[in-house]
Amino acid sequence: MSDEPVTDVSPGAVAEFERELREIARALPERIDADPERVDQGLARLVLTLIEVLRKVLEHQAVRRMDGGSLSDEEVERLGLALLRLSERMDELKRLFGLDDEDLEIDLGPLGRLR
Amino acid sequence: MRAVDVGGLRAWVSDTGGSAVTPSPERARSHDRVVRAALELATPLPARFGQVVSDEAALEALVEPRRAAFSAALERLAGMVEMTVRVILPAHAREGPALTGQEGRAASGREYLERVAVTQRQERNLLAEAGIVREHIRSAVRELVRAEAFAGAAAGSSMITVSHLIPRGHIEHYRRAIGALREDQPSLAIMVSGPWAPYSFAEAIG
Amino acid sequence: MSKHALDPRDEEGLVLSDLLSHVLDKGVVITGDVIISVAGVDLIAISLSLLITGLETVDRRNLGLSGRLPQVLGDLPILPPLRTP
Repeated sequence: MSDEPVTDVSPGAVAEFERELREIARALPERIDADPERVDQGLARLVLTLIEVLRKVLEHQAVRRMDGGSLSDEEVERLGLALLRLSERMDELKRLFGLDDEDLEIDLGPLGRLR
Repeated sequence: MRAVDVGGLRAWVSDTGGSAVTPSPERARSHDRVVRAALELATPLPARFGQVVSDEAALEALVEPRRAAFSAALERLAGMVEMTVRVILPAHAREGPALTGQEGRAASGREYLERVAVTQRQERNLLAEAGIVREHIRSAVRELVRAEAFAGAAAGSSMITVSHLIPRGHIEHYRRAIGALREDQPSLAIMVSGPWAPYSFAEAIG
Repeated sequence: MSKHALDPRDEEGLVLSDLLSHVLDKGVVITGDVIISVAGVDLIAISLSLLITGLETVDRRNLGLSGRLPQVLGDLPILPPLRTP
């Protein structure tokens, strides 16, 4: 009977795992059909995900340069404002398409999940 | 529920009466029950929930072009099952945004970048911790495992998920190895579930 | 080492969520709309992997960045193959 499915949890951790797993389940599709609206949303998700990845790479580069001391105060300020506005614009777009951060997540292996 | 032969492969299907299939706990369990019934006979390629086709001809049209890929996959999965391990990373690896006082809009470009820098540091810490834990798990079960699928912590989460493809005969051994890992690493909260049909190793096909 | 003296509702929720994460999020996909979002996401992930590893090998001088871009990439873990065969 060792092929019976068994779930085994470290003592005291059940509530925590239940919380984490419930969050995962929350982000899973609630409807699966050929609704054309979903197709549009699928495409929006692709495009926004790609932009988010590029935005994250840009932010990594910006922080790197700021920490590296190669930017003047004025450059840091300009760069920071531009990235802040980009981040806010992306928030607007996500809201427009009814997508939240979990919807845009893709697993990039060791790069981790995209926030 | 019935079996349909499609070009030398067998598909297990049920009739949905023409309606789209909305996920529900009962339907999800029922889907997994069918997959497990197939697993009793031989390791199947589990389908994702909700794959609906209009009739057998449509099913054939979708399966036929993928027949070679499916056959190759079924060979690789023969005799295998999936075990899923989830670990909640220890508290010191987790620092929520609340700790950094990031309330409201940043007051300047520099402040925004500094907040971003803090977040990136936290993410790097989490990634490093996840990598270490993943290595612990691998060390514990290395000889038992044929393939691995890994998911790092999602946004706002500190739980990682590792799925392993193992031969059926290794199930008990695998559970014992994870049990031993629990003893060696008391700071890790660990959950093991399985055996599953190899859901996590079927995605890349077709 | 496991499940005694715990709230059965927590446990049931946990087992169900674990099931859903396998059944709804994994498994082979062959039909319509889901292919667009799933296959599309796979395509993006693969393309990004190529993009990032591709940039790693670009000549620094051609980029005119005096070595900063590869350093930035060095800060990000480089992706191995996305799936274990």
